Amino acid sequence: MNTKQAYKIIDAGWAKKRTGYRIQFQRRVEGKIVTDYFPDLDDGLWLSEVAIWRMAWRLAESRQSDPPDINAGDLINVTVIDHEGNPVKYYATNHFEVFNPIDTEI
Amino acid sequence: MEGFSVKIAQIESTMSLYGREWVIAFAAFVFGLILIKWINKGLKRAGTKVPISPAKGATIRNVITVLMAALLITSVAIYLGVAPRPVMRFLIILTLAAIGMIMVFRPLIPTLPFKVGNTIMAGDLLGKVEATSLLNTRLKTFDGKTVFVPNRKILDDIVINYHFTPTRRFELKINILYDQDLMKAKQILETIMVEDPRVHPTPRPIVYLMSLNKGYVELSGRGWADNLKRFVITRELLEKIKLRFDQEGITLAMPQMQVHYTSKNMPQSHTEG
Repeated sequence: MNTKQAYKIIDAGWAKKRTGYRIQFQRRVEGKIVTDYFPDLDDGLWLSEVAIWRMAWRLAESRQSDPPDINAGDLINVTVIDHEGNPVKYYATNHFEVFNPIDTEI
Repeated sequence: MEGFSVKIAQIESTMSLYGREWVIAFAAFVFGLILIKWINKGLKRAGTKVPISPAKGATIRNVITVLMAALLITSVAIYLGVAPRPVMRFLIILTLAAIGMIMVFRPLIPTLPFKVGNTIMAGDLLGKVEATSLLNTRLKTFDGKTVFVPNRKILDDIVINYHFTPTRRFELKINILYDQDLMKAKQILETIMVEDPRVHPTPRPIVYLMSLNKGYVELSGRGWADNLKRFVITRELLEKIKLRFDQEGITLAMPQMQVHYTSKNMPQSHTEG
């Protein structure tokens, strides 16, 4: 194995470089709970993890419902995902964080 | 006295013959200059909508302005009765002489080591070059100040032009206490740098133990990033490192001095209680 091959294994298996971040959240539209994203799926991802988590927190704080009620315009289950749609651990706690968590399955 | 009155009479006769033409020519010249300035401003505005660099736009504008000025001077001269051929000949000679002078003396003329639109560090000033003239350079700093720096000062000082190097190395200096887990700290530092999308994969981010100082171990995380994003990236990485160290129980070192007393050098007042 040469250096290039070794680094290929390291890059695939350890500390994977993400290409960007997106906020995933849910809201009520015409009586149904739909999943939405910021930035839109057609737009480019945000490159800053710090900025995207701050944005997620701002969005969640701006539209907070009183559980279990979900009013029109409320943004619930706000979290950050990576370029592959996988949830990202909140860097401040190193845990998967969801702002305004409401179980919508009920 | 007689000579003076003769001269006055000559001026009077000249003015009565050509005065009207001179006034019209002068008015046309002034109007032409105003028109050229107005067109120049219009071109500057139009240039912002066309996808060309500010430096190229300025060059095109200057060439058009010089051509319009030459046309204006020629028209005025022809109106005043000067034959077109000598005027054209004079302008061609002047142009060729100017080009020749520029070609000969250009290597000897000190030129500024940047162009409009470049981000530079001149002395203590960091900013974007907005305009350059013969005497000074207009610089817009990142906190919104417009600074006019004399060119002679720039030519005498060290200038860093970030335009030539789109990427730049950053350094994160982290100090930890001696009793902290060094390998864990190094791993955290490296992981955070590698994961960030804005940190370039090559050259790979690396962590060095820089020195064993009085009271702390100095670590340095080094990576490469785009010049324009470097400031934000380093601040955000520091934030993430601080928080991750807190989560992992690694204590950052603060400036401190540890004093150890032994029974031999313990002050009397303490030993006696």
